[in-house]
Amino acid sequence: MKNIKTSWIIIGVVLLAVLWLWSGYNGLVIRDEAVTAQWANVESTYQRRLDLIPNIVNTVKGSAAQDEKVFGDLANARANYAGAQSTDEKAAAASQAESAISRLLVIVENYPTLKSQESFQALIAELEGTENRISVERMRYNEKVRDYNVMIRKVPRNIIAHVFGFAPHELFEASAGADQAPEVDFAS
Amino acid sequence: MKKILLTLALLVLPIAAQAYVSPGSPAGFVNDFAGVLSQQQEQVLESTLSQYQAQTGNEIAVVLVNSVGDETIETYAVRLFEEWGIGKKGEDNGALFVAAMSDRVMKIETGYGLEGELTDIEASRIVDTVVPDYFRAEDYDGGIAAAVSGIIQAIGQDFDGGGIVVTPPPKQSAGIGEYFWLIIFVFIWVASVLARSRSWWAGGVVGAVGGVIIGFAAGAWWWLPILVVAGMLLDYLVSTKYRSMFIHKDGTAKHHSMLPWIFLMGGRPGRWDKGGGGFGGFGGGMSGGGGAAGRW
Repeated sequence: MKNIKTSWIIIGVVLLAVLWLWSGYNGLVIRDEAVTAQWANVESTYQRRLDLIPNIVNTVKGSAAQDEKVFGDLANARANYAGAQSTDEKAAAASQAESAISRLLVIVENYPTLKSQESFQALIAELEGTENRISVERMRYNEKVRDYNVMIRKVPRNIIAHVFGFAPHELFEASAGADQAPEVDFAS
Repeated sequence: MKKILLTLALLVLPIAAQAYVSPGSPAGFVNDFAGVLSQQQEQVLESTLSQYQAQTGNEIAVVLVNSVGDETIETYAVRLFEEWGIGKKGEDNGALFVAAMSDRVMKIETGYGLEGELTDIEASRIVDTVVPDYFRAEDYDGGIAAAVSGIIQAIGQDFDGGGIVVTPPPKQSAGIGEYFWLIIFVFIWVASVLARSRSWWAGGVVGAVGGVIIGFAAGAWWWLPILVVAGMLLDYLVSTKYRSMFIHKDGTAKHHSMLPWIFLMGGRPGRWDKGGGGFGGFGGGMSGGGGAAGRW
């Protein structure tokens, strides 16, 4: 009689443990997937920016053909992004594109007639919208990563995370120098 | 015990160091938290937008706040859009026009589902070239009407009805309003100089100079004697009364709370009750930073 009671208790405890593992594991999977899905959103805004680059280059080239270096940089950034496999590589290529675009925008400052062109202004509106989309999707990515990272570190779910190898995701840091406006060098 | 529980609860809560401060919950499609729209215009816009929603399904929200606080207008718009969920869930067919009156910035935030119709280019045309002309002239009714009709046109779905009348922006004219503070300042400055001079005739000279200037500028010579007399009177008045009016016995300046222009500051129109409408809340749509921002 006593044996039966203890075995029921053991079964109950095991069942509870399994249930806990189950829901804990699934919770982690859901948040992990949310991070992955949000990264896809970030990538699609990156792609949108890269698709804009040829249009901008074509518009600017007519007036600023002598500033060849920046056009080369932009082409490189696009090629690097297309060839990038991992998230890190893509992020690196994206920040390369970012700095090339900001340099291009500085160069454009020297060409007032170009700036007043309607087609160019439309492109700039498009570019601004795209940059804002990127920052929004990145912000949401960071929120999702924070959710996930908190979850895998909190007791007791950190045990499940450790056992099943859920590693923390990295937050999106602003790329180095992104907080500084590019310098305008009128001498060159 | 309660205290400990409370502390524990606070510790468990995620640390949300967010600068975004919600303006409140939506009372309709038009939410004038800054109190700059006329009641009539607000009703016209509200009925137009709710008709528009009924016919096309798209939800356009207009929000006017005083300030976006520490946020940029871009993040503010995204957060507000997120909080209110403008547009239907899944369709994301919402658009938000938000302006912060004292920051003088505005943003059109486009829901994911409308990005193809209300493009950034069209949004930037509205916030860069259309609305600022109205807002600079403080014609907020006109500016919002132009913005809303611009957004509706850009989305371009069949829509009949709505009583929005878009008038051309008022011509910029420097009325007395713009020079009000300058006039007050000059007046006080002249008065204080005259008061310290202790003469009674210098004011007449100032008045005469002003009269000559006006005479040459506007050809209105009859101002000259009036200004001379007014200047002398002012001088007489301030020379005898200035110290008691503007300066304490110990030499510090008096704060004149009873001076009339102080009453012109502060106190803004309160929120009025919305006429009962069919606003049933927004549908939970999402945006992703599309649209454009502008300033005036």
